[in-house]
Amino acid sequence: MPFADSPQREYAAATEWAAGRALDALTGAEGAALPAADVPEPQALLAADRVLGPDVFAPALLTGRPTPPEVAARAAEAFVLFPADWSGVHAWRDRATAELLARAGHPVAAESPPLPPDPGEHGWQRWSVLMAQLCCLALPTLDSPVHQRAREHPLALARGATRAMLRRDHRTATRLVRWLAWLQSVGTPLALELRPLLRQLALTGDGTARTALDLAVAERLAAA
Amino acid sequence: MNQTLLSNAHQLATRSLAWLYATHDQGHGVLPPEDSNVDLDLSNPDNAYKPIGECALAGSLVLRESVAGPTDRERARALLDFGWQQLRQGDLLYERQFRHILISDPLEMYGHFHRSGYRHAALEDLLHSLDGLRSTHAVEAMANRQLAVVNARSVVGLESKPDWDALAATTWLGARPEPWAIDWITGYNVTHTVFHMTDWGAVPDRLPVPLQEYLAEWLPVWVDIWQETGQWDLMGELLIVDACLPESVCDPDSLAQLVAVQHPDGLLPRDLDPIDEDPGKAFKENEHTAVVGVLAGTLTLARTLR
Amino acid sequence: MLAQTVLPREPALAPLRVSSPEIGAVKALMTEDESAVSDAPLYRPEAAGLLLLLGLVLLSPKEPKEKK
Repeated sequence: MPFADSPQREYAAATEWAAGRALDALTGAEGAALPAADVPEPQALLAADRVLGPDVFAPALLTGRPTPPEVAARAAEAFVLFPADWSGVHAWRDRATAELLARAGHPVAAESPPLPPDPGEHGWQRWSVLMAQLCCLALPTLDSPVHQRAREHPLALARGATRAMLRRDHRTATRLVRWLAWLQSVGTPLALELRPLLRQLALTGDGTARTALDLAVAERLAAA
Repeated sequence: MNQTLLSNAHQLATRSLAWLYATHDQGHGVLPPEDSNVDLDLSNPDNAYKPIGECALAGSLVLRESVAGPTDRERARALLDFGWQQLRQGDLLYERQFRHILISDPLEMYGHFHRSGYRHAALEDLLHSLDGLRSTHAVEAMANRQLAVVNARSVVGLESKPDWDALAATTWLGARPEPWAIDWITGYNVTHTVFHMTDWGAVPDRLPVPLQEYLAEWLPVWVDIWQETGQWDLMGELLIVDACLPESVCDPDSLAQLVAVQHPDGLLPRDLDPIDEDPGKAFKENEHTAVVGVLAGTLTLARTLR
Repeated sequence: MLAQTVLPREPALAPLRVSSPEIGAVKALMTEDESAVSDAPLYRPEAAGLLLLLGLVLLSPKEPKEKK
């Protein structure tokens, strides 16, 4: 399914496809017949893996089943094909992806990212949006200064989730609730009850596979 | 001390009060003859009875807090005098309360005038008598309405002693609900719970500590979302809530935002809709927000200087 | 076969090269921003009955003229 006019659209569709496959692997729905026509073009698929970043490994980290070697190899290829950007949010995502790739036997170049975003500097509103963009770091066994920031500011994350819920921005709300679930999984007390939020988000999702994947990760973190 | 905040709070209150004073001077906010009796038509949204009470509230708090300059105090007194005269020096309230013993608006209206030294002896006798009835205390009402009545009784000095904590627990706020499950009208319910529990900031600690803590966590979020959507009236009420707490929990930039949207003549728009060119309609649609502006500015100033 | 193992890539295809619009597209998808427009709860006509019920609440809001 080529989208010659717009890599953004093509890659977005491929990311949806890849997120759907990760979701299947996470929820045990794998093996369903997939129409060949829906499979993204090779480069788009690599782009999708690059976008998912650490979430390529989310099913393994949450279920204990190993990441298939070819999946890890493709993620490594994607990481090399699309160059790293050592600034801001991208840098922290890349650092986490590089760490998981290294664990899977695919060491890739990774430098030290800048200081992680801080709510004191950005205000809890903007900071929570940056953390939403970093929600793919909210996975078991990952830790970093970004995670440390999250542990230090559970209220700012909860406010961000509340704000996103009230703005009816369910994508951002889900991403932040994933952080809340991660906080709970590492024993940090939350300012919000997680269960009602997860239930509400399950009912009001935005219909995308990416959000469904974030929600599924959050549900598993909450159950951990 | 945040000088910018003080300056903004002062400007917001003074300009809002100036607008209320000027619009009343131009003849707005007057009860028409047919509404000057005990059975005034309160279902008519254009009825001036409610604005009279709201302006009295604003005036009474400007006088209660000793943070306003002489001009503002004179204007506050003038608004109260005007309202008291419209209510025929309290006779209208007395007649309404006498005819309809279970309604609470005469008591609530009287509370604001009473706070500023206005007295109607017969009405007070009647209110004391009614306060002794089980019936008046058993009237069914929304929880934050119940608080309005209870606080008015307290302001007027009636004998009954409410269980504030128990009353607070019956409100939406008292449930410390999921903060993401609030809507516009419930936002107003929250503000009124705090207004009455604290008697408009006079007794911040009458609000149970768990509710203070709950507001410290979530009030900034509600201010943020209704600030973003230009709901100046509701946002302003939420900033009054902030001023009723022992310590501010909101970003001072929010008050600055209200100052920024205030018109040069002091009109504070209630939302993003255009202001009606008809002065009468502009008064009716924005009078409430002007009162909000007076209260938010005055109470922020008072709490900051306390 | 695990769903994640679906791998349509043919190694024999021409070597992949990415252009800067393609890199830009990936970066944008990595950092989706929040929704630009808030859909925060506003006045609903269904609540008008409640406002009437509250008729006399001092400092209760006056309902907007027309809202969605």
